[in-house]
Amino acid sequence: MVECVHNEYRHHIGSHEEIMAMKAKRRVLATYQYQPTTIRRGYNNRSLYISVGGDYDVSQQDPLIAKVAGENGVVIGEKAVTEFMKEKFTGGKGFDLYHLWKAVKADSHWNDPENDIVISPGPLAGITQYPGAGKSLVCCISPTTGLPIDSNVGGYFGPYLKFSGFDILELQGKAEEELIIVIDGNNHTISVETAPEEAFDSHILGEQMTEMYADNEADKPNISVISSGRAAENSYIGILNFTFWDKRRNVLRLKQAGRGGIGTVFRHKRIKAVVVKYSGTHGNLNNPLNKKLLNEAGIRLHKEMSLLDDRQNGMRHIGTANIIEVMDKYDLLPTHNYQYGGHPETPKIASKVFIEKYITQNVPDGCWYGCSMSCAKAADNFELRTGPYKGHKVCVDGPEYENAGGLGSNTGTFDPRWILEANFYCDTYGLDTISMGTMTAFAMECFQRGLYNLDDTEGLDMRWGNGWTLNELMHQMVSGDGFGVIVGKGVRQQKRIYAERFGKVAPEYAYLLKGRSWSTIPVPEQRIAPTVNINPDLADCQYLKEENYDDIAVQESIKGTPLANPGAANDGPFVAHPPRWEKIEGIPFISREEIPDWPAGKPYYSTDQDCPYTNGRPWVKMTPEQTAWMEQFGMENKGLEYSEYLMKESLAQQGGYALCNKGPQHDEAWLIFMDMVNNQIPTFEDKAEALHYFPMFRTWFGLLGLCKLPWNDIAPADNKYTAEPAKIPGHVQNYFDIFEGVTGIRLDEKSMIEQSERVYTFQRCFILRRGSGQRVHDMPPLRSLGPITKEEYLSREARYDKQVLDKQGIDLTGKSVEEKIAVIMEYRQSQFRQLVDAVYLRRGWTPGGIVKLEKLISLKMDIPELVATVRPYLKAEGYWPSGDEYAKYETM
Amino acid sequence: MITLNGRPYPYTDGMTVASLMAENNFVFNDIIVKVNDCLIRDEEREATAIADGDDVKMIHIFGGG
Repeated sequence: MVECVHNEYRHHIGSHEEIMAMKAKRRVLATYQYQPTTIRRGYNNRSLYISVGGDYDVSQQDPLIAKVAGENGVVIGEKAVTEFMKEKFTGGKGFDLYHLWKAVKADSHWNDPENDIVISPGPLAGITQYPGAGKSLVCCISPTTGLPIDSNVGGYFGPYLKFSGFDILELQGKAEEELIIVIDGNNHTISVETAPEEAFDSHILGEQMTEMYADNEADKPNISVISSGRAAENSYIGILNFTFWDKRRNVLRLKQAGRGGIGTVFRHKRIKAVVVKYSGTHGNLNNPLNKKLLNEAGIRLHKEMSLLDDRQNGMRHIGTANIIEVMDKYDLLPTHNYQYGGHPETPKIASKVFIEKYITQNVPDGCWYGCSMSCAKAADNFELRTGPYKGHKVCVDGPEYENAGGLGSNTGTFDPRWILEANFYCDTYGLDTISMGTMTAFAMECFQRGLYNLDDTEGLDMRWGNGWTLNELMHQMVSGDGFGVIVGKGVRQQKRIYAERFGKVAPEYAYLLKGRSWSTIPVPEQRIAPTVNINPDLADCQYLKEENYDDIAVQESIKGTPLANPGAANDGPFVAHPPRWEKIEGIPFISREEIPDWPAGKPYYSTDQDCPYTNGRPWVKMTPEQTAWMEQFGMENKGLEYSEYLMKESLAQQGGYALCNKGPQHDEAWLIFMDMVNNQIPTFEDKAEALHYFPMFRTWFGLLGLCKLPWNDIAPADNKYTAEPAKIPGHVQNYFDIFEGVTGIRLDEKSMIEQSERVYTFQRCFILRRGSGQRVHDMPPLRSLGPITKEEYLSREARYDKQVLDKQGIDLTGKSVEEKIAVIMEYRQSQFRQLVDAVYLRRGWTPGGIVKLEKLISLKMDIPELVATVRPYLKAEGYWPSGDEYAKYETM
Repeated sequence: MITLNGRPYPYTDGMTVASLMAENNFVFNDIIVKVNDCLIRDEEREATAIADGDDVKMIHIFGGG
């Protein structure tokens, strides 16, 4: 083993001999020898299928054209990638959704064995001539949404899978014991082996696998590993890490398929890791038809990066984190659970702080060969202050903007050290940094608003800015013990659990715990339901009254408890937070083991007398007003947590989030500046056109295996002179060139958008099949539309008053704050409804959000499964077309 | 009154492109500025005066997300 600056955690990894001893303890369950193939125009034309065991129906899936069956129900085989698949679905996310549809039923649960993790790098993935071409797309049924989720990720795995001979990897079933899958792309073998001794956390496991399978130090870059982590098992927000070996830092790097809990599914299948080994990478492994086109497009972009990046976005210096302070200046940086768009302490987490104090720079940092954008930053030798790796100096991949926004400002944490620590633990434990940030922010606001108390959190101080708490929540997700387990279920489940458990406790209730009698516990003030003013005209619109805003009740509840001052920990010496319970008097402790999770499908219990699961602790429902209130500021849609942009002042971005098929992730549409600042899309029709074009354009990257960042995080010098600079027309031409260069097919804007539209439409039908995908499911939480509390309104009072006067012609003078908020929000809800109407019309959907049959036909997606899915909804809504030409669709 | 990105905006004496950007906190690196459809180069922002009634566009070319 080579000497390394990160040797503080090396003893967890083990020596080479210890690692090889782990390997010796494995049992091989199945091996498969496959025939080598040559990639032709971006495709191998076959996929790799692995079932890790379990009993489930495979009758609807494409047939295996070759297979081997091993022990414990393990099956390894191949499927064909057909011309039909390429024509309709192109690759990447399209291929993933195609296989996922066939693998699951309409009512399959995320933890059913048939749930299929599908990984596909796309036909352009693996080229080294053009930046950002190493992406993989990953899909499965999400634990948080119950819908197909898609997530893109860098690292070397996708290209190596492709060079090994497969366009797709499917992982299905549920194993009887912990497994590791090994793909040897040079020897053309695949094996599934038990893995009793290897680690779980990604920064350890990844290095173990790399050490185990590399022939020597020089061979380490030829290994890539997929893994998750321990917290993925006890949460719904598990990620997959895709590794690459960083030769310059001599350390393993982790890139994340982050959204929607794919890592949770991975761990539920009891897969520890998937390892691919491939040596011999060079730029022409895709066998491109026209290398000249590829090379010329690549050279153009490399030159732009060299000449323009320093004065544009500085992606080579700090990556996406360059926009932290920019977002703050434009009032778009989510702070305190999206209440505000900026904060006076933002300079403490500005990009230059990370650059100057933490990030190791002056080395190219790309996550695939040939990427001159090189935005994958890392903080070397970062010393951890909590958790099982406390005191270790580790390499933190990041921070990305989303990490700083989610784990930082949105939780009120303006300390770069806590952000980096949370970043590290999210990665190695297998947690999504975006969801972790948003759902912690929600939990903190519930605490601020007095919706629960320290005894609900088992003493965990959930005040804003407590970076120790942020990390402790993750450690609890690993242990499966504590309030962190509830938080880890995500915003939607938090709302349900809080509503069922954290209602007002009867004052006279005497706690009985562990055989000991406790004195009567006074009811903390914050348990009392806040007074809520319900406007009956607005179905989900309630506003707080003034007396509920302050957090005096919260302060009272922790009176006498010596807690760290979160605000003081920024640049001063670290102030240790007291361990849970050790210094908190008078609050009953019930361990997680004594309070099992609320069982799914059980009825509500109003008192502990009715509930068999309380173990002496009363679980009481919240009032309907409290429950409705949480719906307003619980920042999720379709079950997925919002990503980290404040959207209140951009109607187009509100739509970009809420109309997103998988839930509110910004990779479909990011229109804040075009809309809010530039005012380039002022009408509903303009916004609808943007909410058609940009989601389709961005979807295209996910079909091809490309990174979105080289499209618009660098722009040609003459971009400002073009007719539509937001589209970066010069780079769109590059994409036409590289697609033609690899596949031989020349695209234009129309055919490019249609490629995406087919897959996007398929996904819309897929979520409809899964019980979502109608208008009601596209409605956002009220906070995403504007101010719902007095503080939010007053913080931008002049702006809001002027907007109402300018847009609505209403002078708010003399009205109460509650009345003003009602006027604002009623108007904004109306605007949102009109936007939805316009977007649906543009996309070829009904007002109810259903894809019209005519749209399916025009896209050549009138395949029987989709027609059968939309037909009953179209008929119910009165949009099923009449005429002889549609007769054949009646029986599909 | 001027028009800034299609919206009415109060004019003040001595207004320049640079002062208007500062007033609006337009700090992003890549902003296309046009006054009455004439492109204003970055180095001309300080010296370019804005007159009452002008149509000013400050278009942020912001990748983001």
